[in-house]
Amino acid sequence: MEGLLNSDAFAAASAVVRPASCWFAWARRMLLLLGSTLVLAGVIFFFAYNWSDIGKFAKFGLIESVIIACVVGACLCGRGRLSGKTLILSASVLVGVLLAVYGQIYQTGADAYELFFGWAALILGWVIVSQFAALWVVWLTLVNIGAWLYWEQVGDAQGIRYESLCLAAAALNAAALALREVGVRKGLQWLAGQWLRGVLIAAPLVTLSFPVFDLIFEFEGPEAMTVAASLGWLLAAAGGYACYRLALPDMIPLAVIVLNACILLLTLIAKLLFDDSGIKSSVVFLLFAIVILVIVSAAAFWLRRTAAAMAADKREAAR
Amino acid sequence: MSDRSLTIRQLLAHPAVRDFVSSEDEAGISESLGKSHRTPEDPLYIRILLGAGAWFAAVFLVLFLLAADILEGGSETIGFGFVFLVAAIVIAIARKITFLSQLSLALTFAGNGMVVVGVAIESDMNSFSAVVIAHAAVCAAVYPLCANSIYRFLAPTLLATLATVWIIEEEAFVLIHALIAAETLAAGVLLLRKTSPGRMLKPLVYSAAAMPAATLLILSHTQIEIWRTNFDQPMWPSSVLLAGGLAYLYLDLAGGLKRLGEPWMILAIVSTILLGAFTTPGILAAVGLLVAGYAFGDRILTIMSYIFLPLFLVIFYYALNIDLAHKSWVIGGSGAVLLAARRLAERCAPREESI
Repeated sequence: MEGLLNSDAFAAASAVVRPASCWFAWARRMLLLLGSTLVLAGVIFFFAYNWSDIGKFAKFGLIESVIIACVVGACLCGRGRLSGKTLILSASVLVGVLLAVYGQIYQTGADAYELFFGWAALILGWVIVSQFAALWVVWLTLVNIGAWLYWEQVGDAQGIRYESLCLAAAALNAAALALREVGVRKGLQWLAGQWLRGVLIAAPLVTLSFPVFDLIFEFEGPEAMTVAASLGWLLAAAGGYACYRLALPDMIPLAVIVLNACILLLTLIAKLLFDDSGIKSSVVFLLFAIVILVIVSAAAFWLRRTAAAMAADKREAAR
Repeated sequence: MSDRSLTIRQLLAHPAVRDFVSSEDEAGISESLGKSHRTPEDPLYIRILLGAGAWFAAVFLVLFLLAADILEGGSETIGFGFVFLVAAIVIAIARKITFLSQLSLALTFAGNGMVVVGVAIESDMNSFSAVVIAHAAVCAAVYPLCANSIYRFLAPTLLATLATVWIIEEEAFVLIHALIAAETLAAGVLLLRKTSPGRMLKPLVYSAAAMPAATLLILSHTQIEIWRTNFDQPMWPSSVLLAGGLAYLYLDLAGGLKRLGEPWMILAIVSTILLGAFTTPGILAAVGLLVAGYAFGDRILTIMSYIFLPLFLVIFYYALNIDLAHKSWVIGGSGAVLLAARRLAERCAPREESI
C-alpha cells in the first residue's frame, strides 16, 4: 500500500499473494467456528429454559445423544480437520453439562471441585487424541479451576496453605508449557501457535504473583511458605527469561514476564510510598506518577533493545 | 495454496503480475527498496505497555494537582490543562528518548482530560456538547503536533464515543445514523486508499476503523437497560449504511465491480444483507473489521474484530425481546444457518484462475 504499483498490478499481485482459495478457507473456518458456537449456545439455552418440564431420562438422553452425535461427526470429519476438532471440543463441553445435570437430578452432594476434576478426567482421552491446542487449554483450565475449588472447599479447612496450591498450579502450568515446547520440537505443528506459548507462560506467573502480593503487603512478618512461593515466582520469571531469550528466542513470553514484573514492582513501590514513607500525600502522588513513567520507560527500552538484539541474532544465524 | 513465501522481486516477476508492471513501476519499487529502512514501529505489546503506563501516570499527576489544592475551579483546570499540553508538545519535539516520550504522553492525556473536565465544570455540566467540542478542538490541535501513535489512536476514538454519548443524552437519536455514515465513510476512505497512510495518518486509520463499532457498542448499552435513556430509534438505516459499506469493501478487495456477478460475491453480499436485516448493525461493523484485518494481514484490526464480534453477539441475543425458549431456537437456528452457508460456500467456491 505504498502507492508504487498501478491498480491492475496491485490486484494481480494480491491474487497471487492471497488467492481465492485462501479467502474461502478463511471464510469457511470463520463460519464453522461461529456457527458451531451458536448451535452449542442454543442447545444450552434450550435446556436452561425447559429444565423443569423435561423428565430426567429425557434430559440425559438428549445430552448424551448430542455428545454421541458430536463424537460420530468428529470421527467422520477426521480429527485432522478443523470441523472434527470443533466437534470434539463441543462434545467435551457437553460432558460438563451432563455432569451438572447428573449432580442436580440426583443431588449427589458432591463438591464443585469434583465436577471439574471428573469433567477433566472424562474428556482426557478426547483431549489426547484431538490434536487441538484450544481443547488442551480448556482441559488445563478445568484442572486449574478444580484445584482452586478443592483448596477452597477442602484444603483450606484441612490447613493446606494457599501458597502450596499456587506452587502446585504453577508447576502444572509450567509442565504444560514445557510439554508444548518439547512437542513443537518433535514436529507437532498443532502446538506451534504463539498464543499458546503466551497463555502458558502467563498462567504460572499470574498464579505465583498472589504470594508475592501477599509478601509485599505483609512484609513485616511473612510466613516461610509465602517467601518460598515468592521465590518460586522469581525462579519462574528467571527461567522463562533464560529460556525465551537464549534457547527459544521469542518476544511475547518476555513481554509477559516484563509486564508481570512491572506490576509487582509498582505495587511494592506504591506500598512503600503510600503506607510507609510518611511523605505528604500530594507529593506522594507526584512521586508515584514519576516512578510509573520511569519503570514503564525502562521496561519499554529494555524490550526494544532485546527485540533488536534478537533480530540481529536471527540475521546472523541466517547467514 | 503454496506455503512458500515470495520476495517482492519474485512477486513482480510472477507470470500473473509481470504484464501489469511497467518499467516505471519497477524503477520506483527498486528505488524504494534501495532506500534505508525507517525506524521500525514498536510492536503492539510495547504500545499497550506504554499507553497503560502513561494513562496511570496521568491519573496520578491529576491526583497530585487535586491533593495539592491547585485545581479549584473550571478555569484553573483548563489553564493547567493547556500548560500540560504545551509542555507535552515541547518535550515530544525536543527529545525522542523513551522516558521523555512517556512523560509527554502522560502530560497529553492529563492535559486533554483537564481541558475537557474544566470545560464541563465551566458549563455547569448542563451541555455535554461543550465537552464534545472541547475534546474535538484539543484533538484537532494536538494530533499533528503530538507524534505519539497511542494518543493519535485514542483521541479520535474518544471523540466518536463522546459524540455518541452526546446524541444519547440529547435524545437526538436520528443523528446516530449520520454519525455512523460519517464514520463508515471515514473508515472506507482511509482503509481503502491506495497509497500508504504514513506515520501521521496510520493511527487515524485504526481509529476510524474502530469508530463505528465503538459508537454502536456505546449505543447498545441503552438496549440492555444499563443506561437510563430509552433509545427508541429504528436501527435499520445504520444497518443499510454498514451493509453497503461492507459490500463496497468486498468488491474493492475482489478487484472491482466486474466481480459483482460471481456466485461467491452474490453469496457474500446476500449474507451481509441478511445479517444486517436480522441482527444488530454492530455485528456488521465487527465483520467489517474481521474482513479488513484478514485482507490487509493486519493484526490490530483482527484483534479489534475478535473483541467486538463476541460482544455484539452477546448483546444482540441478550437484548432480543423474546423468552428464553424462543431465544434458544433463534440462537441455535442462526448457528445452523451459518453452517448451511458454509456448505453453500463450498459449492460457490471460485476456480483459482477466475481471480
